[in-house]
Amino acid sequence: MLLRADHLHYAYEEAGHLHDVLQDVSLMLQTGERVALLGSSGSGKSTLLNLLGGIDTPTQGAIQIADKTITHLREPDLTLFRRQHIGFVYQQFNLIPTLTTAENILLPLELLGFSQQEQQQRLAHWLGAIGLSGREKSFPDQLSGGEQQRVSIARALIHQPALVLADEPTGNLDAHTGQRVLSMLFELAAESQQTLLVVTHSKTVADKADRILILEQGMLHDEDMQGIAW
Amino acid sequence: MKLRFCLLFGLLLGACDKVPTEAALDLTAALGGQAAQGFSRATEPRSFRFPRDHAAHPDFRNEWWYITGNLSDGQDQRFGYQVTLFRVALAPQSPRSQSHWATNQVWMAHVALTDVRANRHWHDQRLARGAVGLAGQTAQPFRVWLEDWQILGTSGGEFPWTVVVQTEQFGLQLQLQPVKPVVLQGDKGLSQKSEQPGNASYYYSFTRLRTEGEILKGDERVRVRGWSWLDREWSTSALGDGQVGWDWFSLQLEDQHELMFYRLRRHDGATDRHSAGKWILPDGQTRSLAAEEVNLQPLRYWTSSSGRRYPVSWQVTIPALQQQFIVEALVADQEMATGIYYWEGAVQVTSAAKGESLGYGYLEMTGY
Amino acid sequence: MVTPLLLRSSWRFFTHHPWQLWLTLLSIALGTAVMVAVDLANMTARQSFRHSVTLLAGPMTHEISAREGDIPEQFYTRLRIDWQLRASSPQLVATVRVAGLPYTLLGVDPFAMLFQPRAGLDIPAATLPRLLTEPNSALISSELAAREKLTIGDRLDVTIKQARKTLTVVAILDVKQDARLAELLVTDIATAQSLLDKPGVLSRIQLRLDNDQATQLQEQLPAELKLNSYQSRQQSFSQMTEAFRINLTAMSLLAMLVGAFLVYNTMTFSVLQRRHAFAVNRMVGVTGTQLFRHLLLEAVLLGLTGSALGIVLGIILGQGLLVLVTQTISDLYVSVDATNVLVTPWQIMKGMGITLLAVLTATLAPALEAARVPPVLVSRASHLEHTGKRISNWLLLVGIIAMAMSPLLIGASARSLVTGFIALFLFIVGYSLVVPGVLKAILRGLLRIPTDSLYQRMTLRGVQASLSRTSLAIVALCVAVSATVGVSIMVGSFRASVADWLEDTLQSDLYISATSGDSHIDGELDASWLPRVQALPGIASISTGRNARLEVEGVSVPMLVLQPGAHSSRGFEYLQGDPAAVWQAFLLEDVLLVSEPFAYHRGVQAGDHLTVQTGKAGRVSLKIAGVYRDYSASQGMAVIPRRVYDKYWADRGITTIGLKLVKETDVAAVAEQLRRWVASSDQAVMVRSNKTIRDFSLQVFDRTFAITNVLRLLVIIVAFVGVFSALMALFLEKSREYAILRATGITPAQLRRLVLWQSGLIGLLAGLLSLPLGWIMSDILIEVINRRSFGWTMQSYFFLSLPLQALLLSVLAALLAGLYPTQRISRVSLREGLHSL
Repeated sequence: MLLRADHLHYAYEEAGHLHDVLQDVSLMLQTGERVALLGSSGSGKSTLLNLLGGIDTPTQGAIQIADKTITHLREPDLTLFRRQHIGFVYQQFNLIPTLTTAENILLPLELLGFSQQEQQQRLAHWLGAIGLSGREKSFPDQLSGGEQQRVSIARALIHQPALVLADEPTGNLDAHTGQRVLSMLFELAAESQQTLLVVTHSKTVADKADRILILEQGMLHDEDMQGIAW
Repeated sequence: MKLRFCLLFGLLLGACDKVPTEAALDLTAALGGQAAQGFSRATEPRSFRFPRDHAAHPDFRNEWWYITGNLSDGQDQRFGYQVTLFRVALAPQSPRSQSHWATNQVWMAHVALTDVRANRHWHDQRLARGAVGLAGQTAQPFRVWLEDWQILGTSGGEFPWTVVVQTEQFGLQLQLQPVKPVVLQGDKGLSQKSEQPGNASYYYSFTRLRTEGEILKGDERVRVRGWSWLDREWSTSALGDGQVGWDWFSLQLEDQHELMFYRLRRHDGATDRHSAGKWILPDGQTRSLAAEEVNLQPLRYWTSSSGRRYPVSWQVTIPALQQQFIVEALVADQEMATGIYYWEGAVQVTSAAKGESLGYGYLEMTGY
Repeated sequence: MVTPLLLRSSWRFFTHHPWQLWLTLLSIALGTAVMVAVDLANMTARQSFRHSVTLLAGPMTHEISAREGDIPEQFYTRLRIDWQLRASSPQLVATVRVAGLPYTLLGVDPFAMLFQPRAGLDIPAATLPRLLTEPNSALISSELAAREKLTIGDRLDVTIKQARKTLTVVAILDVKQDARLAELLVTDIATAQSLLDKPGVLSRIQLRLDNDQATQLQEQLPAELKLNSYQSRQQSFSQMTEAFRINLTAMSLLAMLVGAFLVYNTMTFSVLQRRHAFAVNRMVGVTGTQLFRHLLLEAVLLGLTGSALGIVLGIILGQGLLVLVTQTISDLYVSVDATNVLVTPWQIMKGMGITLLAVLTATLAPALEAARVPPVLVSRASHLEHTGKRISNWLLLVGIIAMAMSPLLIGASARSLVTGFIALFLFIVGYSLVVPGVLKAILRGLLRIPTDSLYQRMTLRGVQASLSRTSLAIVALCVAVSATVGVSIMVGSFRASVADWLEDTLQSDLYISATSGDSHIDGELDASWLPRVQALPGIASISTGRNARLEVEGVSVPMLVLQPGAHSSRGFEYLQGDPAAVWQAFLLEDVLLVSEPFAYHRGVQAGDHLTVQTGKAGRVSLKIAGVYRDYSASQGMAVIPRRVYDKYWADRGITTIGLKLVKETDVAAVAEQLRRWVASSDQAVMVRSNKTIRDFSLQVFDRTFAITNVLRLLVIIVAFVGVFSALMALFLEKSREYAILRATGITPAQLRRLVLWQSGLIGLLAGLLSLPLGWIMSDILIEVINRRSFGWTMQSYFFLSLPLQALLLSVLAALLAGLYPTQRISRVSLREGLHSL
């Protein structure tokens, strides 16, 4: 088991009112498992993803990843943990505009202190894997949306994190491109036995998943729910 | 007698226009009372000697050479003029100093010209210390001057006198020669002003001076002739209690009589009993006039721009002499807007009964 | 027209970026404040002088004084009576001391001023009798009365020359409206003559004359007297201090220039930030023109608010500067005294106007840019860099042309100071325009250096990418720092030159000088000093000096009458002529020496002849033997041999005795002996060693440049605020990018380091680029501005510490500016960061 989240609560205060976003959410992800997280807008999907990725901390509850409880970690340790174990793919790609394709991809390796040789080897591999060999010197604004998302997938996976979190990775892409990018994400994750949690609205994404979780009004319902109409 | 010392001090004090004139008058009275110590005083009649007494008497506090006159160009132009030089001693003694500027003597001059035909009246004033040649007097030759305004006699100190005045508006160059002997005013020249002993002046007049010369109006030079009147007075006296002003007449009649009369006005408007005058006969003989012998009746008033209301037409009645005439200002506005405001101007004398002209003269009114 | 909704959206933009709003307002306000402050201080100082001229003159227009000594009093009587000039007032003036402080004893004839309307002095009429008749009676100021606790009738001790005299207070003048009256003791002229032991003479006669009268009087006037108009005195003050005022104004305009750069930067930035919003606006139908107008309106509102703030600040600042300005003018030119700045509506309007103009000009380009935003949503943020490229090439060209024009302008403008400054500014602006291009080139070069460090690349790339938002701030910082470098080099060189000059000029060991509280009239040593000093043991040689004024072709300049001693060697450092020959001529012929500023301003050189007004021989033509280096009188001065002076002037007084001691003599002991004499003599005499004088002179020098330092600091502050706001806005805008980095695994400390590296690099670049500009600026300041202002030349010195200081300054400024944003970024939660924008 890679991830275990127990009784997560998340609430924020706005204008004196407490808004519950997540209420008693528990889940487990197995190593290598590919899970889709569904839910309507505002159901708390992104929040859950942030909690699981160590970007935000829950109001209550605990998260354990690779046998390590991250809920009590302090920020620098959390950062180091994130750096090592988690890869992110965002809806808006979120590439660093001032870095080239190659540099964006290499960022995690650089942060983890990989040797130059190792870095170059992996880069070559990943450029090939995402089909952007020869484009390594391009800046993000010189790439199409699909290409940018592929770069961001490579950046999320290159350091082989145990957990890859993707927040609507196809949301900003057309259907066809989205399909291709998604396939790539699933395949590449499978290759390295990485656990993948994808937040999505898309039925096609859900179809590829081993398991489907549905988040509704802050509550997580179990997989295989048949009542959801697509 | 003219209580012109008040004017004098008023001017000195009021020279700074911050000091209101009324306050200046009050202050004058106070100063006059105190500062008299150390000066000579007029306590008893003296024997006048000429030309010596034409010159200054610096041991007295105040002194003046007061000339007024009515002149004509022989045709249709009439003029009145006034040239007065005042001397004031600020202290009994001159300060001891190596500086030539050090002096206790201060000089002031008022000059005026009335152009009857133009209905205009111009006047000017000056002040200077009696030092470094700016102002002063000498007996022989006779000379009294304030800068270039001056009265000059002969080298022996005698008449004829020459009056030289030049202001921005007008100029005077006149020769004066008396045709009547000196008149000693009051009691043989001692003119008592109030009860207080010593509060009196020495006072003499030349009531009829034949006058010839030139008047300058702008660029125009006018040859004139006529009659002038000289008053000389020196004293260490002050205004008496309750006196607020005076009306002073010096009239020269065509029948060769002259009248001098001053009425001192009290607070309540009544005539002070020290008011007095003289009636001068053609041969120079004089008759004193007491306060109650002359009746003055204002007939018409004129209000000046300074707000003062002066009577500019009078009926003068002297029952004892069987005289009654009307004295009328030749120009209404003959106000002297100097450090102190007063009215001094040329007047015409007409018969009250028949209305025919009897002569001309000068009228001075203060305290209005 | 501009729509309310647009305005509301602007308002929201700025309220959501409060730092940006406040810093923009602050940089506008500071620019305005410095400009207004200098303007106010300048004008107040000038007004104060005009006032001091008119104070005692009242309605008077002219003044008669003696070319040498005093006026015989008979002349006044003649003037007033014979020449009919009755609007005239005789006066006797001298400096006396009350409780050790200098006061002006003014003897007047109260009657002369009696009928003058609004005469400067209002003597209460009631005091006239006492003033005239009581010995030693005087009017004093309410200030003196308060200080010495005096009332009417009290006695007051004054020291006149050596003697102690007692005055009686007869009136107290209210000096509330006029501080200048505070230093007056007014007496009757007779009292003054007797107190000063000067019977028969006057110091001056004030007159009210029209032009015809003045011309006529000028012709009638005896040769030994001269007539000056107060207007010409005011004019000569204006001329004299013009260079100084222009220098200050230029400094303040530099602050405004820096401020304008910053406004440009901020407005450009705000347009870039709102590009998306503008695109949406355009889509819904807002026209480009509307956007343009809207942005200009925004600028006007910002400009109005900022300049209003700036004017308040400027008045406060001006109050502070006034102290420095009057101090400097008093040190360099004539004594002026002003305690409160005068604020006129005109100056407020001027300050606001210039600011608005600068703000509008600075907004023009960004507003045009906004108007050109296409009605298409562009999601790629760094598109912005492209439009910049085209413009920056143009700017580069314009900049190079401007820089090239500058020396041409200097060459073509002869002695015009204003043109000199225009050339300087042209160069600065030209350089500024080139800076962004150069920056780009430098960064491109740096990026070519192969490196394995992603950090390094991220730092460089970050700076490179931010240029469109920061380059103007960098330019502003660069200009400000270069001004510091340039002015420092100039002042440093100047100071070193002055120190050298003092070393050369002060050849005696000890100086005995008569002093006087009034800087116009120099004291005179008692005649007994010279023989006494000569009799002292251990004296090697003696020189004497007489400080006086010399009228050269209608203009009065300071003159030193020098009787050189054996130790005077060649006297001075000569800029023209063979030193030995010059000195030979000075010792033997009817010649004079003129100082460098004199030669520069009058356009004369060694060998020329000058017509001077002498005391007893009328006009005399003297040959200029040489031109010597001098930093003491900016308007120039002349040195005349004592021998020549004695021949043409009646004055036999001396002001200073210089003593050269035999080598082994104890200088301190001789000085001690001299001081004992001084103590017993009661005359105001100073005994100083050459070191004391040198130190004092350098102290005055430093005081003179205190205002320059203050202004320089202000310029730096303005630039700092600009860099701060630009960097902060930049970093705040990048918060999303930083959040990604954080999510990817960068620790807050690493991120902080990255940002600080970037800001440090920006500072370093600004610092490096400021060095050439600073150096060239110092050259222009020394060779053009200083020469045209004061007429003196100086050695250019290089100070190693300066470039280091400049680099340190700009790096520090940039680092400080980066500090807050980094603190903020690491505090902001990742979640917010990722979702912002």
